[in-house]
Amino acid sequence: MESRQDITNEEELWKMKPMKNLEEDDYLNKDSGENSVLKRSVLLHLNQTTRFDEFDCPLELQHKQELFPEWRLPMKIAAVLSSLTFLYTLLREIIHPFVTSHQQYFYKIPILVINKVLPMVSITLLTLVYLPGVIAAVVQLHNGTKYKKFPHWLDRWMLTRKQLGLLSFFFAVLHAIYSLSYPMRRSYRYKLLNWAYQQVQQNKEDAWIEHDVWRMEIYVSLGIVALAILALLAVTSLPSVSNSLTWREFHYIQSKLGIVSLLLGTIHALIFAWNKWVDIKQFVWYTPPTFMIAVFLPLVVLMCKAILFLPCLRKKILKIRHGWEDVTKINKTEISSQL
Amino acid sequence: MESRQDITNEEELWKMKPMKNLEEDDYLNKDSGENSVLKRSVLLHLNQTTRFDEFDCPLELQHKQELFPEWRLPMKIAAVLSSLTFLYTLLREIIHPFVTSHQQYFYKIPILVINKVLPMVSITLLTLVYLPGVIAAVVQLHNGTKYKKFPHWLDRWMLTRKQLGLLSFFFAVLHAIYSLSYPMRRSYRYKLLNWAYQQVQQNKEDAWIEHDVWRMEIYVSLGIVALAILALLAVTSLPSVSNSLTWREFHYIQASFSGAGPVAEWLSSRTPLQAAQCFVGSNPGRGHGAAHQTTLRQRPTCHN
Repeated sequence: MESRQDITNEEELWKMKPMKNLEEDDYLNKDSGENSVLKRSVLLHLNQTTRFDEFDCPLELQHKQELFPEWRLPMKIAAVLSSLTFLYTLLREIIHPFVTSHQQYFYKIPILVINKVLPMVSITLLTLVYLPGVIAAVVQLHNGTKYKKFPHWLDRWMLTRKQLGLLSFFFAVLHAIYSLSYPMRRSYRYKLLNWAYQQVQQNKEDAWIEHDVWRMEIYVSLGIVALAILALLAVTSLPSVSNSLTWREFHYIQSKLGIVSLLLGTIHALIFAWNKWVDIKQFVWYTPPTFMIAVFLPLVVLMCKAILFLPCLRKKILKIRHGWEDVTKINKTEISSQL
Repeated sequence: MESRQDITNEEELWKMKPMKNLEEDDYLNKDSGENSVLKRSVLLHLNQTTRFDEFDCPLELQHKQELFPEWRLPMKIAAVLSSLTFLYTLLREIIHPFVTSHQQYFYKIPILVINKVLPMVSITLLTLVYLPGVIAAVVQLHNGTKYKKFPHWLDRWMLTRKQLGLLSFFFAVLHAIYSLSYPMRRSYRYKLLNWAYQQVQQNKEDAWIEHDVWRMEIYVSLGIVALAILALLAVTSLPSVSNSLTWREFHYIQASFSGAGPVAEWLSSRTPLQAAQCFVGSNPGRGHGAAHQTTLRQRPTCHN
């Protein structure tokens, strides 16, 4: 009897937030009072002094509660991308030298191979944040109105943009930390000593290669700035911070600064590549280097954004988004849907 | 017609938060209910199923909404400081060797010059966070009261302390990342190889310079600790975190890390109105400056 009372109290305690599909509408739902009912709110007028913590949620309630529903699709995308990139890099950098010339580069797997997966996944996820916006703009231009619903897959995609962006930031930070750890490793120390030894043997006074120095200085600097902007995007994604911003401020950061970070990330990758585009040694077993694949989709998105920014298209899109409707196109769609 | 109806609904939807100057009073205003009217609240009783997202804010409302008003002054200060420091460093480290001895150090611009700008701007902004508190204390000592209004420029300055501090933290983190990237660069690799070569040529057995080692070990360690503390300050600036702290906790973190901390302790122990210590009339630092003097008159008690 007491346990039944417990469970009733606990049901009141664990007020479950209703299933929320509309992620970007989070801040739109503020007044309904939903956000003040926290997912794990506890009523304080209990007579018992039982603590309710991670051990104490009743089993029935546990099964009713959600487990990161809006993160499932982004996590699957990230997992698939990571696995594919990992296998691709493994093949090109470790298996190929092992099979062709019996060189053992397995030590590269924990840091160097992982640090090829991380930026690839990060920049692809970031592209997937801005790509649906481009597609949506095209759809709206095609429909001539903003009031016609998007296709279901596009709608679902747009609702996961926040999670894709946050995952992209996560991978970007990991990429930064892995890259910063390079000179700390023993492999680098021993390589450096070997290079020094060889330089002495060759009596080479100056090891300096000017364009190589410039390449690295520029792309490292750009990468850090891109990461800084991504960090700003991530901070404004925090619920309390985004709630304290006006729509205009939020849109300015997420839309405008966001595309700037994608641009800087792409340039960072391109400058990292430098002259590897025409280096025949990069094409192992006729496969292109990873950066070429990584940079392709971002360049497409950036180009589309640039095209959509042209005055003729931009004015039309803004008109549509502010409520204007192209009557001719609506009539056409109505007629075609009636047929 | 339908669009006009939309716009009327949307005006109701986009309840704009009143212009809030009193940043540090955020949690002082909790009771007034202002924080529950969030800047982008939308009424749910719409019949339409239109999604309201980045595509859907009406143009008229967009123009009425603010675009980071409290960040404008700090950003301008940071921009001016950055430009001045950049030109200064450029002149000293790149133009001077080029003009005097034709040495080309232009490769230094992306990382080394930037990494001189970042710490300079960061520490200056951090100083500008704590300086108005010191000035306010002097003003209050001079006036002999906390109820006389501060000069307008001081008031405005004190209202931007949070943004100045957050910008300072931002630049400090960038400075840390740039500094950690030094050994990663090719320029460093090539320099190291050249030094090794020269050492072999000079038959120098030991490259160790003791005081140089000590200098770097100490300053790197101190820098990391300072960054850690700044990170703590930044985290407590998040709205949700600062709302979950008591005034005393917030004040302890934000003010006790200022250089005027000990002075603050001394001053606070000598103020006759002990209860009024809550209002940083006598306590310099990033607490609630006496800038909010009008609110102070209405709320004479400490909020916890």
